[in-house]
Amino acid sequence: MKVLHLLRTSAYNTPDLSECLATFQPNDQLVLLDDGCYNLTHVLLNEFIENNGAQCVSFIKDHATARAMETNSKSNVNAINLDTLVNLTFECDSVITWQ
Amino acid sequence: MNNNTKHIAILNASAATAPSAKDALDTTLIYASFEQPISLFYQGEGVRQLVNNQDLTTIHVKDFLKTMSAFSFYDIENIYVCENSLKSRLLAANFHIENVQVLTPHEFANKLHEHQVILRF
Repeated sequence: MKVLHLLRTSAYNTPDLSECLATFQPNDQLVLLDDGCYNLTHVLLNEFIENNGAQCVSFIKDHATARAMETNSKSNVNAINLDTLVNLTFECDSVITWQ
Repeated sequence: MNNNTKHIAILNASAATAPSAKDALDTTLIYASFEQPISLFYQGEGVRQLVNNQDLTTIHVKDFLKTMSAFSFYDIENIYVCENSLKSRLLAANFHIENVQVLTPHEFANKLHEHQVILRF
């Protein structure tokens, strides 16, 4: 089963990212929303991307731009908009919100 | 149980003192009273909800943990705990309810992926 992980919190102050990655499986997708965009510079996410590739990770462009995160984040992570996010919810079998 | 029945996972990530822990328990019992197939997962700080000998009344919090002993009455048998979360908190598998299965992170993730509806508290 393909799970869509919606991460809304920053790993700099909550354990949600590490708990999310602990349940993440190869087919899954991870989307960073709201304060989740701060994870773009976090070592946990960078290690995860190095091991699993960036194709399964994306972030909401406007949420990152609002937080001045997009400019200094890794370019290989997909920047998406909310329409794409809605499509992802249909592609996956279930959704977990980490908040 | 017809084949498009959805299996529900309640993913507990908060300690017993957090309001969301009580919310998780209420949600669990509501689903169970409507005989929905439900499993309980305890990860991160959520594993602290199962630690034995807690007494929330000493901090003037309603001791809802005792309600968990009614799980078998509600036919809630699938109760899973993340082994890593226990270890990193130096907690032994000494729980105040029975039938708790301690799973490795990989087993825990596999089991969670068997559920169509996943609610995290």
